[in-house]
Amino acid sequence: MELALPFLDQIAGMNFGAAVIAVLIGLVIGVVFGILPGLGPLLGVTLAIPFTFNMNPVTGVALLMGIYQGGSFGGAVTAILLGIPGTPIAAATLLDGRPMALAGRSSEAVTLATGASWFGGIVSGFALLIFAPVLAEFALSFGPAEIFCLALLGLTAIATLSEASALKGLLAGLMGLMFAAVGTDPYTGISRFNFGVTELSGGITFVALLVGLFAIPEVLKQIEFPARKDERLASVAFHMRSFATVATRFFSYLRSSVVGVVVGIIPGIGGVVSSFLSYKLARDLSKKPEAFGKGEPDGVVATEAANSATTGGALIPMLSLGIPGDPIVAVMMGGLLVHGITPGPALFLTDADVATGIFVMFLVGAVLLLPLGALIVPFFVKALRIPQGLLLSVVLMLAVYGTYAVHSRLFDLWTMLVFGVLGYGMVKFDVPRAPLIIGFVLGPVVEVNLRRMSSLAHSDPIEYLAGRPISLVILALVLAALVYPAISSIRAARTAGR
Amino acid sequence: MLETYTSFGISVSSHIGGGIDAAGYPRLLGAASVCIGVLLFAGAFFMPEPADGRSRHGRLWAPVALIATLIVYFEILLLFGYAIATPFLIAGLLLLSGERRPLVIVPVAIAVTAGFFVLFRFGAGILLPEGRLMNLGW
Repeated sequence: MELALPFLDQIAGMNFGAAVIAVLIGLVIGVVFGILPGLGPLLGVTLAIPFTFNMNPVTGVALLMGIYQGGSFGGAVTAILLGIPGTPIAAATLLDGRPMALAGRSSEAVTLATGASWFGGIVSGFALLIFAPVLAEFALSFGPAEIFCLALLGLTAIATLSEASALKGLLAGLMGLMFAAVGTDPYTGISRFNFGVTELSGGITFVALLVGLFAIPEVLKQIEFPARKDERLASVAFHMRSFATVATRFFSYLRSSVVGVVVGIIPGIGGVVSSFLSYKLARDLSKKPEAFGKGEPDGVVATEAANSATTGGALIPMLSLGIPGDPIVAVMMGGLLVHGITPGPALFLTDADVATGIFVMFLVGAVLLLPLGALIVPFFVKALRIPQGLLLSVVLMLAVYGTYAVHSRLFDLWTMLVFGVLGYGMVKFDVPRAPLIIGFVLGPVVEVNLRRMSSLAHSDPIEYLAGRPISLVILALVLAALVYPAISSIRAARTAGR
Repeated sequence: MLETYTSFGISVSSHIGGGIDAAGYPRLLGAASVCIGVLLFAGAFFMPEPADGRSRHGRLWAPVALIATLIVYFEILLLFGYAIATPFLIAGLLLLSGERRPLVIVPVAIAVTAGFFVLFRFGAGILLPEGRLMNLGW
């Protein structure tokens, strides 16, 4: 698959300057959303989606990727300075970053986090560049059975591996598939589940569902549990000696980044697991494991390099197979679909310039994270002092009018509110929301390929699948994803019983 | 289970000539949801999760009030448009967040409304809703 020679032409042809500005703005927004507890990169990407509709697809995705990359890093800042992770993926950074801050080494800790995030992002950018086209070329031979099984794997993995209750995750995923069925049948054009409402004949608006499910419950939660007054924040400056550890501890950075990329590729795992896994590995391999948890710099490096590298890893299955590696990537995939760009193996044939543009912009974002972190984080920390009421007003306005902007109709606002109440209920009953989004995004893929498969299989699906070994392997992985949580629960119950 | 089998329906002919029809796929999803619902119910009944001691509810009245505020806001938006309806929404949100000073609530509500008007109208090119009964003619 050609990539190297057209590379430069494609950079020149895609309004490079606009895309770089979009990445920069995205990084700034992402860092702010990452720093503010309760917001996070998922909310930032969700709120930004409507504003990308009038942009070139690459520029729009560049904005979203910038938010993703910035948000993954921003959460570390509050984890270090306040002991509260701004995002769940920064939870592991707290283990050594907070003790460093309490010992008066805030600048060292934040600089280590900045350098590690920068390094991890670059490594995952190159992994994306190398592996996504290779995987896509392999996947070009996939038929409806393989594509259906892959979509099933993506949905099952996200539902069962990332949350406490696998059954609740599966239920949420099924709800997403059901909501995706509203509108018209993809084969025949027959209307279904629109209950006579004209506005539903085209299906449920993706942005209304997304914003309702994620943004509105966040506002409701923060209203229900008002924020405490902030502690006095330590001042932060770039610490050159800490940054120099990128060279002196190069293999630690590289190992943690590779862990992040590998975990990111597997759907359903994500940055939280990659950062804790990398932390454990760094501690086990360290000559002074007893220092971990007490302000060991390698602890901060291991977690931040891994969770930043996960961002690029998660994009690999999305771009090459059309299977999102995590919820944020699922939202980005929805953003691409709205632009008429379908991620998957064919992307590299029909929209190769878009794919290349995404690779380039990811690397640009990863590189720019360092100067941004070094220069601007000390000012962004002040964002923690914004009064909660003002912050929620801004979030709510972006949510409401970002949704309204799609079709300029009030019906979408009502849809957003309905899903907002549903999402709030899901939060209250510990039902994960990410599988619902992924089910909604993958719903058309699942249905179309299931029905194609059933047509091709005629009267014997078993014989049909038996002749497709790749499908069987993927189905075995689906089964493993379903069985693993049950086995873990049984083991945990036995351990508790002892 | 019978519904699941017939929905998966490889052996059931459809109007299209074999395979799952337009209704079959949603039926399949519905059947799967029922199965999972039954499993969840059984799990909750036979293996209830132990209480973890944490408080799951805070000021429950506040989210309910905000939802009610949004419902009223959408109705007022339809009748009177963005410029008139939005300051009341922002003011309501500030009150629910604990702000009690009128000298803060009123200017912030107006400033946020105006600021977002500029951002949406001129920055993002979004035409904001005009009211059916009254609008400011933008």
